[in-house]
Amino acid sequence: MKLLIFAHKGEAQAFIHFYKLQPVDYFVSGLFRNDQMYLLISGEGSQSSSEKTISVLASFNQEIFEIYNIGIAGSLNSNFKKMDLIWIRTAYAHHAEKLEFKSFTSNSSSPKVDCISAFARIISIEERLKLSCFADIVDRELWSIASAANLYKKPFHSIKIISDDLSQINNKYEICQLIKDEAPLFSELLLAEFKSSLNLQDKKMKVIENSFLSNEAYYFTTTQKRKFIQLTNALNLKNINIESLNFNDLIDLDCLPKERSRLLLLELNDIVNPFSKKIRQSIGKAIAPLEQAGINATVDPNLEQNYLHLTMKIQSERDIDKIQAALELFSFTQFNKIFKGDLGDV
Amino acid sequence: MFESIYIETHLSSHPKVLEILQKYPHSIIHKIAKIEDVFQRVKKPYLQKRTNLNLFLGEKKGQLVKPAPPAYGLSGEPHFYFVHAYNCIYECNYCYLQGYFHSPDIVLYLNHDQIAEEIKNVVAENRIKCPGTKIWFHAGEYSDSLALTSLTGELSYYFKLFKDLPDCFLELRTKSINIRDLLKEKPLLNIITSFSLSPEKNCKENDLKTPSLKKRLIAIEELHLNGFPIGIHFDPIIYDNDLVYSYEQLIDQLVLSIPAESIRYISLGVVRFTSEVYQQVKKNYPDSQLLAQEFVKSFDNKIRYSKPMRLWILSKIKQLLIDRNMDPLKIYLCMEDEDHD
Repeated sequence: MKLLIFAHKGEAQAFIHFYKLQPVDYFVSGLFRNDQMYLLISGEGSQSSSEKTISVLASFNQEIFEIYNIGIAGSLNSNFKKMDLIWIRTAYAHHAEKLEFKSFTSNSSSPKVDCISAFARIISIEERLKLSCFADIVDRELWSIASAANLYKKPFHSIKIISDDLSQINNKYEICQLIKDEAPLFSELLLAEFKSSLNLQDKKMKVIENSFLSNEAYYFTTTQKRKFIQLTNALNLKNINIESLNFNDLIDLDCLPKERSRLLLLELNDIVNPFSKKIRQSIGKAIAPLEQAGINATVDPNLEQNYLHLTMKIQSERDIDKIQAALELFSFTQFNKIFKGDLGDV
Repeated sequence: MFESIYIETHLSSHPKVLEILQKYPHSIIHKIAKIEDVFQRVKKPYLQKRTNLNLFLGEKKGQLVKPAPPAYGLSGEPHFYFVHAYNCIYECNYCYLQGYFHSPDIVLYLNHDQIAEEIKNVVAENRIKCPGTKIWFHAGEYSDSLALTSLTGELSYYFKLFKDLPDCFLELRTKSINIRDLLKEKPLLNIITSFSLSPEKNCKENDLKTPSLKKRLIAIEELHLNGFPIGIHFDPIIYDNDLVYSYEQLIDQLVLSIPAESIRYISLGVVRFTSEVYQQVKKNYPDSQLLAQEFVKSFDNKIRYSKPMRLWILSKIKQLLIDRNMDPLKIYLCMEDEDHD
């Protein structure tokens, strides 16, 4: 599920209405949900947004897979005017007259605008010019939310709408009133931007991944799932459509779902990395005499060190003879050549 | 090109500063006490160099000449690098600079006289420690050695210095074709301009915003014809299914620009990353084919291809070079121990 975070309810109202979000009985106020997303009203400023974001992530960590911070911001750059909708690239922070070294870059595809979160409201032109060395727009919460997202290793995105630009410097009470009056419009515009941004390609990828991950013929451990997603992405980068690949042989194979998943990953890996397949085949050939004698021979998984780890069971003199014969047939020199890159033509 | 230029206040009237400012009349100028007051104060993401690149002009403090990492250059000779710039105008998607500094902004140091003094000290020390050995200095550890020389104009300074240090070598390592200032100098046998080359397809996919292979080969030819010693780096070598064919093509093109026997040395290095840089590559170039390849954590914790694959690649390319009359003694493997077990 997505977690959408807004500083004020005014900015969130269109989302609450459109997605029919219901209040959640939770120990901090301002949490809503439906079956697709959580929405949190974090309150203004870094402390409140940090505390509330972290507490929600701690409680619903398993359900939430990405975070959006949505809301208003002030412009620090004459290129950005009131009502401009902006996806944020990097979040910086300015706390108590000091810059925070850490910055957090969003997972959105190609935004070019940076946002600095200020400890206090930035009203004067002097303050804005000072911060403009580091970012294009200013808000109060993004850095704290991005920091919390980073803590929980969740991707984050941020959409901001410019509520006040450099040409419009009022006192803070006037600005607050203006923003309050215009909140419904800001909220509608932010909602429209959010809805149009949902990436169809990502959705398609998820469907393909899920057709394997939810198939009962396969059973993926967490590590295997991660590997599967990595390989699917790699196929995608190589412009290979996983749907065009035929795995019927695997489905027909009489084996446990876990073994089938292992074999699927192996096949995918060979498609993505034909060179690795060649190395594996060469090693397989070199250690065949050992395997034929029932010796389980494993190599360094990273292929960085040229050792063999042998496991065998001896239950009789005959087993010892078999092992001795296999070891005589096995050529360590040949095995070692693979690690020196002697693989013939690949 | 530069959105803002930050200048250390005490250098405000430095002739080079004034010259540089004239070239960028539209940049916003900031005077600062020292570069570190602004540079790397916040973690500025690498790709911001595309839209808001800044320039810093100052003086380098601390250790100005440093020993190079092991397996750097031809073995058996001491190698050092000196720091006169940070960061690069190019954008190679494998570049370690994306994980090295916390900002992509360009820093140019102007105290070449102090760097020269330090080079002389290092030479003096090494003449005592290892008499008779050649000492190497490299200028492009944190930046491209030639890309900004028209701006910085330091080449004549180092040509004068190394003319008086005939037992020492200076390597100017580059992907640039900016050889105008170099051609103004009288070639010296101990100053070697070395070009990093990859097959054309790899240049296009990975050496973003750099001159094309064709243009680099023209620059090599021009320098060679004018008597400048040339070194070549096939580094990083990135595997693809046509690797052997594409390197055959590359070497054939190269020897048309400069005969194999005239190349001073060729280094071979397979693509490698620190873990941090690899994470940056994933973040900065998520659609790169580079990421579809299988890497492992290798002997020095760097992310590399598996050892059998690396050594296969290196031996194949080495053989291609030998087949085209390159002296095997002039070929060395960069950051890879051939006999590492």
